[in-house]
Amino acid sequence: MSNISFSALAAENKILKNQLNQLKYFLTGSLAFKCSVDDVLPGQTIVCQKEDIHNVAAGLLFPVSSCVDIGPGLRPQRMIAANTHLLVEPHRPYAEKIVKGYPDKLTICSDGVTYLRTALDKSVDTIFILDVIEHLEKEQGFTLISEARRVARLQVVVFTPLGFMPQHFSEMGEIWGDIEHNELQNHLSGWLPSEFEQSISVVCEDYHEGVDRRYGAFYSVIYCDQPPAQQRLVLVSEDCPDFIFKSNDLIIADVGFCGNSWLINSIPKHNLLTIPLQIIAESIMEPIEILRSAVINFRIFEQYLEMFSDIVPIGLSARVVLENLKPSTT
Amino acid sequence: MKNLSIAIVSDVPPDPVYTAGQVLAKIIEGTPAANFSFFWINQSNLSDTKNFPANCRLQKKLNFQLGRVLSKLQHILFKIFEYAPRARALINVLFAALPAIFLGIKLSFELRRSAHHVVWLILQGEKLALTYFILIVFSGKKIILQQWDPVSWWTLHRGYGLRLSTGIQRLVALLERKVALNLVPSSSWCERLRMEGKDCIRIDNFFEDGEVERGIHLRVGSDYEVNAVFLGQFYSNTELNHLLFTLRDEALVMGKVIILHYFGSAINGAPIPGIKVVNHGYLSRAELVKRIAKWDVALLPYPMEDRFDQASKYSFPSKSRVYLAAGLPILAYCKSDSSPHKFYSENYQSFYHNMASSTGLRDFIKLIGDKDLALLKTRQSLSTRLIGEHFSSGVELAPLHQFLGNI
Repeated sequence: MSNISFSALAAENKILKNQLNQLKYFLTGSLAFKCSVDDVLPGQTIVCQKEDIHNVAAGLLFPVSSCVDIGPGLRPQRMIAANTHLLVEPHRPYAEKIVKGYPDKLTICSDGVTYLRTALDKSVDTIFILDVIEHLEKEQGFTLISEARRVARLQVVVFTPLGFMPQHFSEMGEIWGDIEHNELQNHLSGWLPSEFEQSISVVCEDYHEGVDRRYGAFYSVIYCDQPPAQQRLVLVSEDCPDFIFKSNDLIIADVGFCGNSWLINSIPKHNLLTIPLQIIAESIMEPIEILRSAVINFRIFEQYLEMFSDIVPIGLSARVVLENLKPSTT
Repeated sequence: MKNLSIAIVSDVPPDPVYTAGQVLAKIIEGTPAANFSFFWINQSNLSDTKNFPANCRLQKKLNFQLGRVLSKLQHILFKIFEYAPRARALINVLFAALPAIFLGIKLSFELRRSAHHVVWLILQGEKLALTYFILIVFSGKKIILQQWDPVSWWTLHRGYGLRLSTGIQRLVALLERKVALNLVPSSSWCERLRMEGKDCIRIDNFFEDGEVERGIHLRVGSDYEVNAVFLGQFYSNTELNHLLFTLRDEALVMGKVIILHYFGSAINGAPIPGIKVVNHGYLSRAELVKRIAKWDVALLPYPMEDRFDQASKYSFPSKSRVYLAAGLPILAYCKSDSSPHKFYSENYQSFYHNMASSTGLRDFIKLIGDKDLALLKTRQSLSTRLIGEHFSSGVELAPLHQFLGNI
């Protein structure tokens, strides 16, 4: 194979890779590709492959109606659809481009910390800090995270290389969106999942292709609502569009609860137990021994009712079951 | 095998909610050319179910309850022999045996008159042994006998004397000789029966081709935890406790805590100190395989007492097949001549550790804590191969189909 044909192939391969990346970017966050991982607790890490990391992280997120995207560059986040999506981009050429490219989103030209300092406590559902924090000095990065936690109601989502991955704008290859690289692209710090408290991390150990070796990358989804002193038991038998689950809720859902199952899948849960609440409600006058022998997981359900004092029923069947099986709570 | 009509007599329905029922359901569903009529001897008072495979219907529900007359007679005899314990013991045995005998006679007549080509008997316990003996003698049908545990397991658990236990074992040995085919869960049991000149096939909770769907490769946990999985059984609590306590103590030295993910009925007894237990309840097998694959290790306690030697050698734990399907490392506590130890130490040795016969638990804990996905893939590809070679429908169900095809 001649040098010319080899170079042409390599160039074509790069174009195809770029196109594939674009496709992956647009597909990220699509409901079809979100991957829900059950039984993950804050403090735990999910280790997965490169092709799965975005979908696994997207599956961990609370549904939201508002989000702030810090330093989106030319690509606003696509992990989650939000009615109100604010882009906070410090590099003016990028900001001008995304104003034109994404007229449905709000864009301001500011750095993240400056913007967040003006924001009110718990005023936005989610804050995304994707491929940003490694461009800041460590102290500045901690400040950004701290401000983000103050402002976010539900979660802060961070994506960054695993450890320090060297990058200098002068060594970067092709330009992005016809805009010259600059110092903002330099990497100034390295991060590890353990540095983000109250979070679940999704790690891929060989995500980036560096000059001399491969580098990992990870998402950390930092949950902002402080767990209550007591864990709640939530019984769900019907739609609950306005109910906000907390990250450590223990959920018992009816087998027929399909319509809003995405609401449950999006939050990490200690345990999701399926109990036929509607059937129990309909058979509530039957002797307890019959319910114990006829209903799957009924004994476990009784144990949980005994263990928890803070129990929230959602739906008529859930209320009926709770009133009859644990009268002292009603 | 077309239009073959098979009568199943069992105390467990072919309902996937029960482990034994799962196996029955898979065999029935995997034999669509045959029609199954289910005679349910509900000796354990299981709850009603309608969850049968499409080609199986409930023919009759039966039990071992004494009728009013017999109950009264037993009561009167107890009164008469109030101060004669031996006589009372004899009366007990007699009145336990009588319903089994009557049921055997009743079923024999019914099956004799029926158009069933084959009668498939599932044996769990001594009463059924007696019923089936009568059935085999008087029904005039071709019989398949399936067992999951040696009958000594049941008689010892129920505290029968040595003479009675031996008598029941001899009865079962006679049954095995008289039937056309024996179905057992382990290769060692099959080998033993074949050496005794009895026809035998190994069959248990098999997997269809492509059934083992892992989803994406991932691991969940932290450096400070060992996430262990246990699929529940009622009779392994002593060995399970030993396994858990030893694992807990060893992990503690390494700065780790144990989280036990428990699938099954509620754990009986006191909470296990120092171990966080997450009770997940019941899940279907397919869901179970996907759910547990992301954790660190599966626990396999098995009978260690000498008196359960037969069960240890000849039974095979169904749950270990689920562990294998999920590609989990297995931490066992079992005798070195037990059937699971023989299988896993030979075929899955890199990811298997038996606390009872090896040291090196700490190294095993380090191994299972390794979140390297390449290692996970290696392990899962090995487990997929083993499932295909040993526990697939091609290996276990096909020989049964061949037998049925020759009827």
